[in-house]
Amino acid sequence: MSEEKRKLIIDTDTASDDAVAIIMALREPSVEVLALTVVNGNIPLKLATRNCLIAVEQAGTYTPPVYVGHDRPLMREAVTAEACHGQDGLGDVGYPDPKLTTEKEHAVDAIIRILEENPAGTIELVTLGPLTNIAAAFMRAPETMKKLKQIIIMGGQLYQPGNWSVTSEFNIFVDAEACDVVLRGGVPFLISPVELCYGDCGFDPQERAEIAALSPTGKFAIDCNRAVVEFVKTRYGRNNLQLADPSAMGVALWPDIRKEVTECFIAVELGGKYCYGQMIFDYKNHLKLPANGAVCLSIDVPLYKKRLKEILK
Amino acid sequence: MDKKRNIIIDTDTASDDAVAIIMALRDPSVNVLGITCVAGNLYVDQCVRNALISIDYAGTYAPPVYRGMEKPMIREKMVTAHATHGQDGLGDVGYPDPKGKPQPEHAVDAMARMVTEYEGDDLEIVTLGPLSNVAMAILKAPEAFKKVKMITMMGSAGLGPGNCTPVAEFNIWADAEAAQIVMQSGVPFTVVGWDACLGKAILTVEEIDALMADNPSELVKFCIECNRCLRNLNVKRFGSALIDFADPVAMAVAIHPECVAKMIDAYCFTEYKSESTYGQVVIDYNGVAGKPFNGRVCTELDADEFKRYLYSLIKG
Repeated sequence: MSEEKRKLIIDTDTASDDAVAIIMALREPSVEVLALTVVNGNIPLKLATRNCLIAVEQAGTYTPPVYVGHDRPLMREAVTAEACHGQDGLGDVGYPDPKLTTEKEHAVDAIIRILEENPAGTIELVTLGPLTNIAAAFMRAPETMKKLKQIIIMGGQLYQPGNWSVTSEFNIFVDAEACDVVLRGGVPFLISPVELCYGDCGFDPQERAEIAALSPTGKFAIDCNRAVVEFVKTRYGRNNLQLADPSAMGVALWPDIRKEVTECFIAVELGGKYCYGQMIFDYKNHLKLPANGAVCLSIDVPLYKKRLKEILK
Repeated sequence: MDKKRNIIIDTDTASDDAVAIIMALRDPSVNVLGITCVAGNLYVDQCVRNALISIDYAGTYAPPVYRGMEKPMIREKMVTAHATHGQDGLGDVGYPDPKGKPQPEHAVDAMARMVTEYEGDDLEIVTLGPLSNVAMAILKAPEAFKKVKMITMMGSAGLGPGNCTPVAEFNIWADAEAAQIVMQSGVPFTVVGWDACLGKAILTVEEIDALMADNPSELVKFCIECNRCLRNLNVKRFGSALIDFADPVAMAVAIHPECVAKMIDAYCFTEYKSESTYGQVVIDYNGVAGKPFNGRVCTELDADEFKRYLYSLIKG
């Protein structure tokens, strides 16, 4: 392999599906993860940080530095999703404390510093949680952030209902103001909406058993998501493990799984009585505004799952 | 001797900020730990330059000066007040470059660090501009900010009308989201509204002439002349070349509480979602919202004491 590896920074509110996404990235030979930055989201920041370190250990490859970031949204009270991921964010399986530790530097400072140290257009950012850290970096160092090649964002919903409110997906709903800052930041972005983990993209009991049997890592990936399985069962009446962050990480790592990508005007609703945090994908161009980003509308599910299984072996 | 009051000044340094900075640096009971600059009246680089010039004119000591946020946190449109304070923010008098240089550290990091490293529970912050730096620092170091004793802010229309919109005053209007982050942070704060800086607190033309009569010091000349553009504007705005000293009033409220004639407790929040009332600070002193009071508001100044104090610092 003569090609240079893609360089990634991953921003994560590490709960169970983030953990799988982190393992994917750390095991993918075509990328190098330069840093992981943690943010409040699915679970409070301290637990998310712990889980991030556990995920890095579980990946069993290399150990990029982990930086701790913002512990609350910019404007609003924190909203968390223990109901979905378990009290500890990893299905309450009882994983032992990680041996790895975090860096002293603040996540936002680390992102800015890494971009300053590298040539423009060489680093990509993948975000798996609310965009608070990234927005803070844009507010602090707008020009430096423009050195990013692209941002791949797990967030938003194509259709109603969202997974957290009538209209909105969790990551965006938690901190819509942060999302707004990032979308306006002038860096190319690709959205992986929550729909990319629904339906066929999810994992039925047989597939889960198959993955768990692959390796200890495969078993971890399934076990830590057991609360998600129960959550989906209770809420939607389906026995289907829906993993939003791994889908987004798949979109980031493997461009050939992106089936339909459309460029359009993309924004987020900050006001409104019902629609806070709703993402707007104006692919019919009703607003007559120029496209500012891209959204992945569908993925090649068999190829995604094949890659995921390979990487968890 | 009493322990000195330790403060950090956050400023969008234009002409009235300059006077406020000079007051703090010349009050021997105050120790300025650092000056953090933020975009507001002017672009942030101009604010840094003017803060350094103010230090030179104060002629006492030189706290570190940090360059901070270049624009508001979330608000798309950046507003400045070059029309009020001059293109250079100091009345376009043409002051020479300052002796000092800013520190390399970003103001947000510096403020978060100073607050984190501070030993004690009496650290205070005085803000003379939009609250972008302070809000970013609070978000960065929320635990450390629990030891901040008081944030005294020049901001809001107080209980009167606004000066940028019918309900909004410049510092809050320039970055209402930042103001709201500060107000909901749990750090005690004192609001010095635009209304408290008017009335008798204004320096009249007669008072200005008296200050400038018989061989004024370089410092007195600076404090008056750097407000030249503001005075010209005030001829149109108030019909007289007076100086409304918003930032010096706020500084006096912070470091010389004897200037306060009336202070009320209230639940305060900043509206940031409405187009028509963006930047309005709602001061619920009757507790109608049923929320615990989170701040206090200086609604009336002892203007005589303020002027006596101001003169003692710039003439002495």
